[in-house]
Amino acid sequence: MNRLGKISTFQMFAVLLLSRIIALFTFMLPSTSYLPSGDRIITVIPVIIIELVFTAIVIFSLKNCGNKNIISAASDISSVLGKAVSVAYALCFIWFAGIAVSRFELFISTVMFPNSELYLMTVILLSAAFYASLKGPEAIGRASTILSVLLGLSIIFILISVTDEFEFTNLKPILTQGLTPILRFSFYISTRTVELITILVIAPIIKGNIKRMTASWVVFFGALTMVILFVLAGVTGEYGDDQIFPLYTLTVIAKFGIFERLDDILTGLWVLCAFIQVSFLIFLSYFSLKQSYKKAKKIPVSFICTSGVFAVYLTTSQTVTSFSEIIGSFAQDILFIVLISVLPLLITAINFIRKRKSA
Amino acid sequence: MNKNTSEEKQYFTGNIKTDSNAVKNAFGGSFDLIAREILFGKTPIYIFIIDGMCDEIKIIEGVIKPLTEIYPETNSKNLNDKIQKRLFKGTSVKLRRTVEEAALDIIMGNLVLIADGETEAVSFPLQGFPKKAVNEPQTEQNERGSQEAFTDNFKDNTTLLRRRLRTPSLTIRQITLGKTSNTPALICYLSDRVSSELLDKITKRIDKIDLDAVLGSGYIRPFIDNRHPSFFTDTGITERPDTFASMLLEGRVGIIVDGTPYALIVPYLFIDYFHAVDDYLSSPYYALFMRVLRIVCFIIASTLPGAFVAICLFHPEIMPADIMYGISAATSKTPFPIMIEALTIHFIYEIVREAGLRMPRSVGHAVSIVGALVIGDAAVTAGLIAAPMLIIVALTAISSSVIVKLHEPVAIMRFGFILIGGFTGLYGIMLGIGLMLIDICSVSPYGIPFSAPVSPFVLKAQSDVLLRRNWTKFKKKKLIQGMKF
Repeated sequence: MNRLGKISTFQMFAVLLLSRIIALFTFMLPSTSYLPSGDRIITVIPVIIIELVFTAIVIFSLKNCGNKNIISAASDISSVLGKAVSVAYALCFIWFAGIAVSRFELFISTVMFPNSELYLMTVILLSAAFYASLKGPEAIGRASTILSVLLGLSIIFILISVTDEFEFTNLKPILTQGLTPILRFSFYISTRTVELITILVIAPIIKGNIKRMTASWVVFFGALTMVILFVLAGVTGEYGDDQIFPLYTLTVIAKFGIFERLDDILTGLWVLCAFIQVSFLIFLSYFSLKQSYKKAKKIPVSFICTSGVFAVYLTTSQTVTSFSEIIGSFAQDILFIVLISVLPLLITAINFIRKRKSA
Repeated sequence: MNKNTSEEKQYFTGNIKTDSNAVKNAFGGSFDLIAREILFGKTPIYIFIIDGMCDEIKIIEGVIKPLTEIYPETNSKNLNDKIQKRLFKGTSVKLRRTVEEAALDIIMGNLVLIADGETEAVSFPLQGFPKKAVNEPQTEQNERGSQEAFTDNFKDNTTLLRRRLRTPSLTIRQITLGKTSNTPALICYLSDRVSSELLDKITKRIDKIDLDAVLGSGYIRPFIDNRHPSFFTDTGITERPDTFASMLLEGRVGIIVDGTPYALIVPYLFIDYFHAVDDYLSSPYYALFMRVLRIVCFIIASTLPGAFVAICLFHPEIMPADIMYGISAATSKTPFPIMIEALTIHFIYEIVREAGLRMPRSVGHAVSIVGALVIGDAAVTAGLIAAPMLIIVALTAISSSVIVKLHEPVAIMRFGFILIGGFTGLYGIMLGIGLMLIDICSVSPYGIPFSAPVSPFVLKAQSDVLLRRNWTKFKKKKLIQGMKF
């Protein structure tokens, strides 16, 4: 474990922040659903509550595993179960990394290189992410800390730059369509991200209080999202409601001095965020497999995982519509629920029963 | 530390003829080995020196005269004892039992004396070879600080260091490197500040150096450097005794190699590349400004040409319309694609720089004229190069002169960024920056992250990262000491 290095809670916070911000703000809504901007702002509150519930499950499971992660706990029950769980989590991370690459490619092909085949770009991104994943969680964590500061400053700069465009008349009344669409959308947002699942696996190499870090990250990110959505709603009005790249839309409108738009600042940071997210997920897929397959070699296994990510990208990256159908599918809900709550709770329960019996 | 071979050692026998011949044979008949036989009373004595390596006045006044005139000893018993006690009282006289040890001392500039009937040679440190005087720093000039730089002679360098750190805790350990060159080197540290773990690690790495010759500090740098392949080296180089002393005050370890004025410092962090002596001699706010300026220069020097190519080829909408029209009008008249143009001009710039470094100083002005007029003005007038590109190259060149210590990685990365910017636009540039960041963050020389104290953030060490605290509050430098990982 020591050879892999450790990551501090502060660095982990930064990694999760970059990972979530690109996942959420690059592709916010499935193109088929609609939620007015006012309702979208208050969606953040149920999202925070749902995520805190999932956080509680994650922390409860980890607490009952001792200082181990969920894969090691499964291996304690049976080596076959351990191997199955490690493969399940590795595949989950490969899937989410592939989705991240597809989402990013759709963004790039829309805003940077319209009408271009971006396979070469994707190969370059994955090669860079593969290299970064080999450097381990410490390097990714340290780089994320620096990038999250840059990202934070850029977001503040962009938000200040659009204050002139802010119109209170653009804000819509809330709850015009009732509570159900809000709750459905909250659940949708909460179950399309991988960050909380990563905690279940990476916990043993995090230095510090994981519970405090995860809870504060959920609340901080919720607050940040609320601010961005509020400004977005005030600046773009109805136009922003059906934008699939909401923060990007904001930067196109923003002006500063002689610069007519600030979208390139965001695009540049987006590339770095995607790079960090994919690197981290490739590392985690290797790390998951390493837990049960002790002889797994870092470079070949990471390379296979990276190839898996490329395969997922090729499958999922077609059009915005097909992509939104894939990530909006019911299977995605099931995948998330199983990996974040069913499997950890099941392993915890079996371990608990075994301990009772042996006592 | 000395890498003796497994050959059998030849011990002194006590027979003056056999022993003196053995020493002569060790040098294979070198013309500069001076062997003189004199009489100490009635006892024959051989003196060995290398011509030009010893101080002649000291030899005559301190050895020849006392032996032949002042102490005409008749009793030939315990000669070595008498010689040691009477000649050069107080100097570090050493007794050598083997011919190899004695030969090594002679090479180092010692005078070796063999007396008939004695099975040990006496070695006196009487070095006095011609050496360069203490000069001004060549690559680390400053405005208000000391104007002294290290010299090629390691003993002069210890004096320069001792004059700055007048404390007994300054420990200087001598080692010998290179099986054939037998180069003296010094490991320097402050015993009350350096961590024993760090010292052990560095000493172990130095012990593993298995080179035939060490002719400069650059030879041992790869052995001390962190083993990860990385653009940036985590071993610092300085020619300034004051910078060296300040690094030791922070708990670091320094290595001085004889024959080179550039000393090594380990561990060396990324942020150290942006610090200069003047930062500590000017006001804190000005030091902050200069440090930020250096970081900006590093970014400009490595990424500006690549970003310019990327913007011109893929993202012209970034720039305000008037500027963009001007640039596109200029670049449209040149025959080469902008990426090739950028690569060519930077390659020419590197040629001019290398020429400036290697050529005799007397023709320096000629190269400047060729560089500025022929390559610059004439190429633009002839329509071979666009003027905006020349401005970018000039800005890049000036910026890289601000961060001289980073020239090696920056020069290589610049070409990489031009290529990646030309093929993939800002997308590739940002990915390149990401990789560079990962590269910086992945190295942990001797357990201290190269990217510290910025990431991981170390609050205690922030008094001297970007902002340097005022000296009234900044009593003790603690950069390395404050970091525990």
